[in-house]
Amino acid sequence: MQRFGPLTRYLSEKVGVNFEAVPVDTQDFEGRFKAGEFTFTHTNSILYVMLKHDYDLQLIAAEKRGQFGPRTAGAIVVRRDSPIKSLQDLKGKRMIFGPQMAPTGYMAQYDLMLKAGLDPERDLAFSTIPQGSFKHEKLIYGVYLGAFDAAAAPVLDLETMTREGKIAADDFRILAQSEIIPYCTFGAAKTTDAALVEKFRKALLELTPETTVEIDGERRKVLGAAWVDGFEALRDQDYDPVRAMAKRTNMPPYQVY
Amino acid sequence: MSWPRFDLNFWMVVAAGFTMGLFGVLLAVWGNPDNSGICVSCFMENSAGALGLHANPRMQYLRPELIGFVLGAALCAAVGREFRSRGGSVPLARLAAGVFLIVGCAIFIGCPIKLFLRFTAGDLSAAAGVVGLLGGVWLGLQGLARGVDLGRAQNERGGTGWLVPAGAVILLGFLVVPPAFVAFSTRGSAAQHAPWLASLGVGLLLGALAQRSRFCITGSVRDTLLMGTRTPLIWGLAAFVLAAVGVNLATGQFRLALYGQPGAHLEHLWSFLGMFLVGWLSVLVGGCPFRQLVKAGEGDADAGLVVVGMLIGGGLVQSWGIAATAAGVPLVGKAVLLVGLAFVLGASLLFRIRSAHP
Amino acid sequence: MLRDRFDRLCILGLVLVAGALVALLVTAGPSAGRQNDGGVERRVEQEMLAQARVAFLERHYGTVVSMRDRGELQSALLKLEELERQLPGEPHGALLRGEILHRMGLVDRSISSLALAVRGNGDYIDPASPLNQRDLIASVAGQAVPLLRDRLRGQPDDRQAVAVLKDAYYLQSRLAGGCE
Repeated sequence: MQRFGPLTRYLSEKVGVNFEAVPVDTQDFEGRFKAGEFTFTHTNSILYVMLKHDYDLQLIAAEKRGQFGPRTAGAIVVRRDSPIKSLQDLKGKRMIFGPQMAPTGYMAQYDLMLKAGLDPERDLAFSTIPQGSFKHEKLIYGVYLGAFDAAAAPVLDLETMTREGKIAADDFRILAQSEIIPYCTFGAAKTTDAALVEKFRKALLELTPETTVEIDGERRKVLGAAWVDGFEALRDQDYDPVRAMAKRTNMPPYQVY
Repeated sequence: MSWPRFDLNFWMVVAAGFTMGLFGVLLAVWGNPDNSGICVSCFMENSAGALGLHANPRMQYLRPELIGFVLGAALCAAVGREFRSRGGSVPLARLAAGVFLIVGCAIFIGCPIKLFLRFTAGDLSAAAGVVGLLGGVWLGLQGLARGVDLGRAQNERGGTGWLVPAGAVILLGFLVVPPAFVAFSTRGSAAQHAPWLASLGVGLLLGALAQRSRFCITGSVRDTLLMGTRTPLIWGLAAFVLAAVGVNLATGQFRLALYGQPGAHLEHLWSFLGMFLVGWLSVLVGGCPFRQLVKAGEGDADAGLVVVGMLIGGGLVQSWGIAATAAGVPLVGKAVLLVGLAFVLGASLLFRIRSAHP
Repeated sequence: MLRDRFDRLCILGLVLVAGALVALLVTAGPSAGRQNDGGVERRVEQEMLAQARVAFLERHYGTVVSMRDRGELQSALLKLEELERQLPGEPHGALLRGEILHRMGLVDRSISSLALAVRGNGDYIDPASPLNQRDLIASVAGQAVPLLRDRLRGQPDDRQAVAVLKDAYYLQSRLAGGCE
């Protein structure tokens, strides 16, 4: 919540409403939203698609981070010296994924494998998801250190880790990369006052890297604290690639049991 | 509408305006930067760079047009026995005025001649500059009417009036036989130039015509505000516009648009303020940057000091990052422009002849 | 003017000085007047610098270009991230990023990078320069302007779109020419 404290304070001041930021586990999100606990949401794109589909969530703005701005992608990576040269070579190998509800840490890569004619449930010798926090970094290090043959790496994390010098661009080979899809997204419940939603959106779009807010006696940069470059207004149809991916991979809200 | 007297002077003015508009576009067709066939401020920056007053490698070229303006005026004045060495009126203030003239032009990206060349090429972003120039000239006239006066040039013993034309001859020598210390850009807008003989020839012709006719862009605006359509100068400006529009259309240079124009930015407020400063200063010092070159050519040492100030300004706006670009007006440029406005306001206070009775 | 001996002496002095100057310039050899350290002519020096820069860029960014040409666009972008640490603020990185983002279909992101590149080095829009990228820049700017105008019609207070549109207009203005 250190990350989003300044943003929450900023929104409260700008919109004139006292917001409270509530951290929620991804798997609990839908249930708590359905119970009416939240007016505004900040989720990944697959959760946005789910909530839009089931509860007509209003789209506010997408978060910008990294070189794709309000969008991102997922990649399947192997170590530079790996004998794996194509997706087909993943058969019988060990692969590590991000959390199942991570669009660019799981769904995008699952989709890539399906498109290549692979069945991620059967064709891999072993697959897993790391425990605890910083899952995305862990799966990249997992490949780098040889614990796994391939990783479902979000491109944003590859970019961030390269920029921070944690990995070198030459350490990995990208076997495949998904379509570019929207990143984390702010939404509002269907019944939220339209004027309030508009104020909220305006406040987000007006943010610049220099915007600061006073929180706990300290002046902090709102975007810097949130690890975000800004916000951009997208349209609902910009999320159609996420919907298509979710349908192909049998993910919510289109899952068939 | 009042009509002027259609005498020789009238036709000289019209000829000067027409020729300036014609060659202002043709020089761009022949190789000068787009919409900058004639631009005293840009040329000053280029020439300052050539002489080592700044280090921007893309803005270093001794523009023959400037040399031509001075020498054309000098030769014409000498032939017409109008060359008079004169000066001595508030020299430092005039030097500073020259610097700030270039600052104002650099913020707009163009002198008053280029202002109208841009406008006649369809560049709608120049509109703010036109309004600014009109406003600045008007305010300058208000100051004159209330006693602001930098003083008149006095006839001088000796010949300081020859210094600027002599300097132009030396620069001509540098152009023809370039010494190693004179720089010539191989890239950028300073590398874009018409053949030097054509540029020099046009400069000489315009210098002579302007000396004979007293034609000047800001002078046209000034006299129109004072005398309406009776003044020949407004007809000279009209001839300029007509010629420039015609040649722009004929050569395919005309494009009516606000965006994507060559050498233009979209900070309209600062375009307005830049030309506002230029208009105001031009009234105080007796003419736009082009007119200063012509007057310096005919022996006016006061104008000569303004010209020296302009050359210094040409170096400073590049060295200090004052000059605007298509990306916009830098913070330093905005600050220095405001200093320029403070200068002209201060000059209006300090150089005001106040009558004994209110 | 020649009233007395002093005047005549001054005139004589002027004539002698003028003659000495002419004699000096006429008798000076072709190498005279050059820098005392035997350095090369400025124009040649500028040309050498330009060529050295091109070689420098090829050496440092060659890998990125190869990756790009092989279609490894994301790898090329990651390599650029790395190079940005070694060569912070180098416009060529911004240019390559802009080109790759354009290939990925991210026109608005591409524009911002290309504008940064051109602001840093006008050679990218100079037709005479070996670094000339006018066609690419014109194409991207041409695509970006209607896209961004359309976006702003739907969301007029989108500051980011305004900023990117300004970048697109800036590129179009630079492409049109004029004074820099």
